[in-house]
Formats: sequence, C-alpha cells, structure tokens
Amino acid sequence: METDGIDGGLDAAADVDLSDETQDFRFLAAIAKKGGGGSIPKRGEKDFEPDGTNLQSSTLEDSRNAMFQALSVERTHTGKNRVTATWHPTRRLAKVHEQRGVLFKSMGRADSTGTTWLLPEELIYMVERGSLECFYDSTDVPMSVQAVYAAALAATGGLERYQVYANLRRTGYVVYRDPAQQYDELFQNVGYDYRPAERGNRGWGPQVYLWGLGIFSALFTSVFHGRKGADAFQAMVAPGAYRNYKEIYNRLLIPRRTLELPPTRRGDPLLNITFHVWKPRPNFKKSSPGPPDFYVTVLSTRDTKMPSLAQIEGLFNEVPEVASRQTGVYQLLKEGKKSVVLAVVDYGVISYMRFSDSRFLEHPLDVDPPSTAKGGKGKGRPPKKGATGNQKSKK
Amino acid sequence: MADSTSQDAAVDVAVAVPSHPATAPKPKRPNYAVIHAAPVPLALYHSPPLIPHNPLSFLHHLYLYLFPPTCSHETTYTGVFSPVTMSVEIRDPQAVLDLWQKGFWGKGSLSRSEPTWLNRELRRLGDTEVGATSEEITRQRRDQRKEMKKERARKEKEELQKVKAAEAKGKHSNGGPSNGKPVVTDAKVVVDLEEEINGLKDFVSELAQSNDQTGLPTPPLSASEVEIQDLAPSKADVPPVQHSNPTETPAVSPPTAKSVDFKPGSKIGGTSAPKKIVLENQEHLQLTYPEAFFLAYALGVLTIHSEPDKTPISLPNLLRLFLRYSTFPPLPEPSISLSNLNPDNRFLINYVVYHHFRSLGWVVKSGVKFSVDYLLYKRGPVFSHAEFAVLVIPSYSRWEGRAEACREWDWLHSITRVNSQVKKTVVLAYVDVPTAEDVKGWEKGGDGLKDVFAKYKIREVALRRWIPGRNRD
Repeated sequence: METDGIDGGLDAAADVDLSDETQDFRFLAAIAKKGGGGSIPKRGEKDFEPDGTNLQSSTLEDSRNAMFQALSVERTHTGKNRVTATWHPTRRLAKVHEQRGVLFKSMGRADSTGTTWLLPEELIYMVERGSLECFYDSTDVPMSVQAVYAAALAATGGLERYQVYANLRRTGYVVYRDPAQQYDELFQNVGYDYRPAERGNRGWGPQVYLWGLGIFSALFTSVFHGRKGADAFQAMVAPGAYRNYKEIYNRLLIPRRTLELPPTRRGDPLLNITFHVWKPRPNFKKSSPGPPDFYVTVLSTRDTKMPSLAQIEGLFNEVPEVASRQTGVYQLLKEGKKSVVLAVVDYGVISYMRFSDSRFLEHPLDVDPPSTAKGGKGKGRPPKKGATGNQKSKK
Repeated sequence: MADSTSQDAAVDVAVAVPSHPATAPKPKRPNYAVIHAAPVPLALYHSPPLIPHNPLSFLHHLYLYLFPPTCSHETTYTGVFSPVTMSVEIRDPQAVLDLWQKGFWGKGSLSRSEPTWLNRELRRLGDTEVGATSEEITRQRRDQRKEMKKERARKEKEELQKVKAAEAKGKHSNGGPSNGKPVVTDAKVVVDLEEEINGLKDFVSELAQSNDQTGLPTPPLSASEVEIQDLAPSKADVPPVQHSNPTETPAVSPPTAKSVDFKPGSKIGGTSAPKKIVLENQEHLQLTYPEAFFLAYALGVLTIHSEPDKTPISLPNLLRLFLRYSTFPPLPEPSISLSNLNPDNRFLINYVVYHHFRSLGWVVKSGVKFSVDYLLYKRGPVFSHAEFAVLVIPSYSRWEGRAEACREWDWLHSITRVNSQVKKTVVLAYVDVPTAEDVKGWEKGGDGLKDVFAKYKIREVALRRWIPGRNRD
C-alpha cells in the first residue's frame, strides 16, 4: 500500500479513497427479508466476486504472482551505501558515522563539528526500512529492529506519534517535530517562521459590522428605529421602510463583543502541534525549508476525546494565518485562514482530519437578489456541488 | 388520447420557448429566482420614480426619502404552539405559502420539506393542472436509476455468459482447461467492455430524452408498474392519468374537465372548488422552536397562540414555553425563570446558532436526516444542495468548575463519514455559554434579549478529511 515517496515509487493504490465511493445499502434489505439466505448480495462492478470463469481466476493468479515476485526480490545492501549510526541513550539521539544516501536530504541535522545526528523517530524509520544499521552506545553491539524500537520509541513521544511520523514519511512528506517539542537544542533552532506574528486571543475577529449602512440610512436608523422605551423583547427588525434586504439583515446581526476567554485550562493539558509537515519537493533544504505546508497534531483515541473550544483555540493560536488563493465563499469557509490537521490514531489506524478556522461572520452571503434577476436562470447559482472533488477523483 | 396530444403540444411549446440550445435538455422548472426572491417574509419599500424636471415631484420624493412610509410588516402571521409535536403550526394557507416562499421556513407536516400534500393528492386523483411535486421528481429519478442499474446488471450477466461460452468452446477444441490463453481473451473482453459502456451511455441519454418528450408532469410509477413497463420510450404516448389509475377508466375524463374550473385562485386552499373534488388541505406547516422564535422575536411577523384558548402568547411567555419544552420530558414549570435565566438551555443554545447563521444570509434547516443539528443552504433548498452541516457543541469555559462534556472520536467519525457520503462539509459550531451571572439583569436595560444572545460566543470550525496521498500536489 504505502511506498516511499523519496524512492520515487508512488503507489496509485494509495490514492484510492473509499469516502468518494457512494455506497448504497439498499441491497442489504433483501438479505434481511430472506432471513439471511446465505447468498452473496450482488451489486456494482467488482472484480473479486468469483464468477467461475477462467479469465477471472487467471487474472487473479497473475496479480497474486506479481505480488509474490515483488515481495521475494532479494534486497541487498552494497558496502558503498552502508550507513551506520550509534544510539546515544543519554542524549536520546543517534550519531551517524558517515551520511550517505538521499534520505539525509530531509533527515538528521549536523552540529557545529559536522557530525550528523538523528532523532529517534528518524532512526527507527531508517532502521525499519533497512537503510541504516544501528549500534548501541559505545559497545559496538548491533541492534535489531526490535531493539531500536525498545530503545528509541519512548523518546519519539509514544507509539502513536511514531506511527503518524512513519505514515507521513512513507507517503513522501518531509516531517519535523514542532521546535517546542524538541528536547535537544540542536534541533530547536529552525530556519523558518512558524509562529503567528501576533499572539493573543484574536480568534473572534471583528464582531460589530456596519457594512452597507450609508450615512442616510444611519440617519433613518436614529430617527425611526431608535430606542422606543426599554422593552427587553423589542423586535430586532422594527416596522419601517427598508429599501433592501441587507438593511434588514444588518439589524438581525447580533454584535458579539470580544470577551476574554479566561486562560483556565483546568489541568486539562492543551493540545499542541506535534509535527510540521512539508509537501515533497525536489529542492527541499534542511537548513531553510520555508514555512511548513501543514501542522499536524497527533492524538490517540485511547486517552483523548474531541477537542474542546479552549483546546481548538490554543491550536489555532499556534499556527500562522495563511492567505487563501480561493475566492469562492464555500472554499474560503472550508479552508479558513488557519488550519490544523489532527491525526487521530485508533490503535494503529490513523485518520486525518483538517480543522479549519472558518469565519462565517467575515463572509456574509448576499441577501438581495442580483439586480438583473429577471431571467434567474443560472444567475448567482453556486457551482455544482462537489465539482472539485469529482475532478480530483477522476484524475 | 386527445388529452395526451394536447399536453404534448403544450410541452412542445414550453420547450421551444427557452433559448438555451446548448444546454442539455431538461424539463422546465419554475423560475425559483422570482418565486423565492425575498429571503424574509418582510416587504421592502420601493421609492417612487423621480422626475427631475418637476420640482414638486422632487420635493415629494425628498419627503418620501426622508420620511418613508412604514410598510415592512404589512402582513403578519399567526401560529399555534403544539407541545405534543414540539413545534409551532401554521394553518392559514396563505401564511404557509408565504413562509415557504420567503425564506423556506418550516416543513409540511405530511411532506418531506415543502408542503406539497395537496398537490400530490390532487395529482393522485387525476388533476393534470397541478405541476409535478418535488417528491415525484425525486421518485422518477430514482426509478430511472433503478432501471439503469437493472439494465447494467443484465448486460454484465450477458457479458459473463459470453465469456463462459467462449471458454467452453476453447475447452472443447483444446481438450482441457488452459492457462495460456487468457491474454488473448483479455484484449477481446476489454473491447467488449468498452462497447458495453458506450451502450450504457446511450441508454442513459435515451432515458433522459424520453423524459424530455413526456415533459415533467408524469405521475410516479409504482414499483410493480415499472417492472411491467419495458423501457422508457413507450411512456411518451400513454396518457399519464392511465398510469396512476388504470382501473378507473370512466373516472378519467371528469377530473380533467373539472380541473379547468378548479384552477383559478385555489392552488393551495381549494376553497373555491366548485363541484365534487373538494379537497380540504390536511397539511399544515411546522416550525421548529428556533424558527418560530426568530419569526416572532427577531422579525416580529409571527404571533403564536396557545391551543386551548386561542389567546396570543406574549413574547416573554413564549420564551418561557420554549425554554421549558426544549427537552423531553419538559422541564418543570417552576425551574424556568426569566429574571434568573439559565443560559445553559438547549433552546437558547440552538437559537443562538440558528440566529447566527440566519443573520448571515444562510437558509438554516434541520439536519436531523444527516445526524447533525442544522444544514446551511445558500439562498434555499430549491437552488442548491446544502453545503454545510452544522453540529452545535456547547462549551463551558466560563463556568467555574464545570468540565467540558466532550464527545468521543467515534461519534465524530461516524458523522463525518455520513456527511462525506452526501458531500457536505461538517462545521463544528462551538458555542461558549455564558454563566447565569453574565446575563443577570438583562431584562432591565440595554438591548434586552439581544444582550443575552450577544453573550454567547460562536466559533465555527470546518472539518475535512485530510488524505495524505491527495495533498502532495
């Protein structure tokens, strides 16, 4: 399923997304009626339902053979490409003896003496895929994959974090820890901006809108719709003369004053950004990677629930705003100015969800019909739903 | 038969009028942009045209511009609070029509969404004057899809048999099952498959065309009739009435004659129906509490009565009722106090979110069908599918010593899965609920209830599945 993007082999199968397949469960009704008659429900064009033809069985046999052949290829390590490293349990880093190979383009970091050090997750990943041989401390005892796991897993921050790390790496991304999560100062200074320029509780945005209120209508407002006694249940849209619907909608807006969220965390550890992730690109430079493409937080279903408002807000405060290239209202709302990818690990199964800070207040819809709405056909109608998604899936 | 030809002619004219030769032939739809031009049931004030060379007119215009007549709330509606169905019922036909057309409020009690029961019933009884309802169109589409799937399965089966026959032949000539051959048959099958796919495409367009020929007003076929019916083209020359009522042939002609008298003025009410078919509309419009409160409080166009004594309920009492009946079973009466308002009430939280999105121009409908709280439509359900599915998530960061009641991940996963099937984006609407102290004294000064709602903070977070393989560029 997963292949290493750095080696260039991108598996098409990894692109198949089950969520795009529209499922129809009506066929199950027939089974229920028959009382589970034992027959396999028939639906769709599937290749794996045995139809008793030689053609099918031979196709299956061929693909099975191809898989076996791919697996049984002998993997060799030439002496020229042999990379070795030593695990330093006290520093919780691995020292690379001599760096060779393409993987070091996006892994490890050299100190002032020119020695390259690997983070524990980088070490496990490289040992696991057979790119590196590791020795323990100064003993010169070679470590098995299991030994590397045992020695270094705790330093990665837990199994879930490593699983997400390895999954993203295998898919081709460049992954680094958030600098705040680095315990070794060698890895702490990075050559890019990743924190928002301005911190603080600015998540609620401008709350009071006076858009579209011309000076005359403002005058009318004060003259005709002024406070008529302190009626707590006074209608928000008082009877009057409104020239367009926007005037009415302006009255319906509830001005939400920016209230300070108390910084109470109540012992509940706030979520943090775990990884900074870059899309694979040929000219990636460890020293100046540029701002990350994604910010990933790793969570486990074992000990977390859906994030609370304070947790979400904390996450959004940790990432910078990104100017969207989109122009449509739907796209702007879906992408938001900030977004964080939550990798929820359920006993090894990773599901990624992108949480975007959509601000509906900043994108009110047009409420007045377009002035040339006589025909009405196709005018102002939003684009067909899911058009972009379809394009992608048809690629 | 005469009826069917005249109908066909009418359809031909209707098809010929629109000037969209390039677009795919589609059954004519009502002009929704005109029907649903108003997003709220309020009237706008249109100033009279200005004649610049007439100074008097100019003055008059200036006067009107400065002191326009009050005209926004000319029509107000009445509803009945129904605690049993947890809704507010609108029974006046004109009000039902208005509220649906101007802002898509509520749903028909006997319909999926738009109150169409009367139309469906009239069509069932053979009235050809009433246009097809959305339910029928949906059903028609589903029947077509079913037909297409059946056809596809049939062709697949044929294909399979062809392959099997070819293999059996090969077995005879070769004298045993061979594994060397399939490469040849493979190429042949690919060609066959392509042919089959083309055939399917033709079939689909054929279906679409036949649909166009009949025009839209075709009553839905029952499942059994669909099976009897061979293929779509034959539908064109059979009068639609016979489909719905094949046994009552003598009754066919009177309804068509009657429907002519029936037409003027009584599309919904049916009050002026002259002779035999007098259909009383048994459907009413149901408003949810947030919808009703929005119409009553925010827009001020709805008065709500209580069922037994038909007396109007004042807004404070209405709020009290909604607070009480926001849960099932209803909260005990003494626990509801407006002066000591408890902001952690399901009605208040739901209303705040409803109001939030409504005031930003979205048409907000219930999302219970997709296991969310609200669906957001741009302009309205007749224009496009809902793009966003909103989950209301109360948050208590201001409540001292109260833990957040967070849901489990599997709950969220199941909801995002359901909504990705229907291509909607799930939006978490976090509502930060104020404490009772925060809202204390709201009824004494300031903006009253508006101040209370302003104390709730809303933050929207859009969710999307992120697939590593899809985001590499």
